[in-house]
Amino acid sequence: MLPKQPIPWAAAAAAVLLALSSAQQGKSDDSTLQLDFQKSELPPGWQISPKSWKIEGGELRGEGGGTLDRVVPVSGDFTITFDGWTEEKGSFEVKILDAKGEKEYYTFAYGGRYHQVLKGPKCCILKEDRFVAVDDKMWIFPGRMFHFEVRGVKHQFQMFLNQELGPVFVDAAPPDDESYRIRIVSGTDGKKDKIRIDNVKIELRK
Amino acid sequence: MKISAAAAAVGILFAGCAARDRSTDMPSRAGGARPPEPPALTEWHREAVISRAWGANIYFMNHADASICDDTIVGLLQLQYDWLRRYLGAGPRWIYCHTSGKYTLGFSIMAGAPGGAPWPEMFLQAGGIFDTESNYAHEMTHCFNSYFGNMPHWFNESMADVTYFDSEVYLYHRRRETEFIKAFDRVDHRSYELMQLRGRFGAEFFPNVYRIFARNLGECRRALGNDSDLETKNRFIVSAMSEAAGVDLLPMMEREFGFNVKTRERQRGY
Repeated sequence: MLPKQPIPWAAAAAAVLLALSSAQQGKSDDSTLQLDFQKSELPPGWQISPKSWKIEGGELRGEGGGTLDRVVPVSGDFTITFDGWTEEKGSFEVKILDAKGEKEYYTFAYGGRYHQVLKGPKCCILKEDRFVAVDDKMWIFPGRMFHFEVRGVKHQFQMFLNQELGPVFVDAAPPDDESYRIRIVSGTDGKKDKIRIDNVKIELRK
Repeated sequence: MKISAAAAAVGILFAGCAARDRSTDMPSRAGGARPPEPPALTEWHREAVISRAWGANIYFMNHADASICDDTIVGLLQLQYDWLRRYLGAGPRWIYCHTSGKYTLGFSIMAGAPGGAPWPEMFLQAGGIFDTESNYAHEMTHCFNSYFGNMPHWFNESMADVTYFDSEVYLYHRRRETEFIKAFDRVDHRSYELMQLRGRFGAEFFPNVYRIFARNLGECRRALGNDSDLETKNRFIVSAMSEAAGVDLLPMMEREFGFNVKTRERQRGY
């Protein structure tokens, strides 16, 4: 017969150890930045353009192309997720910029408009201005809220659309800078085409 | 006159080949039965056969070079066959292997195509025919896979890479596992997903998956049959892998690999 008393004590001790361990992990540089757009103002460190874009109904809404910037530089591995919707044919991109926000290191593009070079709406990865990965079988379309996810671990990048794998890229010659900025870009053909963005989350790991 | 000269030249060429066709006069080392000739379905089949040889499970057709010692190739292929048979637990009675200088890459044709061969066929480039690292394990795995059904591209191709990896480590002893596996540990590798599972669940993982296929061969062939849809095939494979792992792998594969059972047909990057 198994002893009954020691197990709760052991479990409690294990729980304490786990809690301590978690607390230690919490002290690391891992962090999560989240925007659920439940308040009318953006928290510090974020910026939207154009100014006409507004937080309404618990999401970010705009007309025509625009950007949502995390203006504070970050570093380490990342997972960036968000939900996005376009009224007409449009696209979303996640850009990794240098710490000043001036130079584009990588673009992770979810295409929903005809692209003349790619010859169709496609998902792709660019390093600076060069295409390094293209997925012919993945694109977005109007009227549906899509879930976007971009992961970067040790300069290995993966794009997901609605949790399905898209283009991947491993950069054998990554930028020297450790810190970078993150920008989410939406593009539309019409200046009045509506865009919605929600549940922006950036997870960072050292 | 020109036509006659050409015909005469071709006649001489074939006469020369026939004279060197050891298999017509001399039994192969195994000396036993051999399978029927595969039907000439494609241009590759229709290339002249310079010589033939066969072993216990291999029927080799040399379309490339009369200087190739066929029995040596049969021996190398049989070694690979025996190892795969142990690794995968079951497989086809015969495998046809062709070699030619005209193939741009190695490839295979599964058995059971209308009008096709009764057993699977593999085609190896003559330039690397003595190098067992050159597609021996990869193409032969496709032949073995066709014994179990018509597998989706992502699993068929990645399994061929897994068996290539394990052949290099455990059959040929050319590579060290801990170092070699790093070559597959990058998200842009076409077989990233199965090699991740191979790394996490160990060397016995995929042999155990195939034991499950073999134990349920009827169900396996139905689920992976030509008439089966992609989702049925994917769910059957993931279910067997989950049983071998002792844990439901689907949530992890969805979350980590972006695997969708309804749509995943091709390998990464294809």
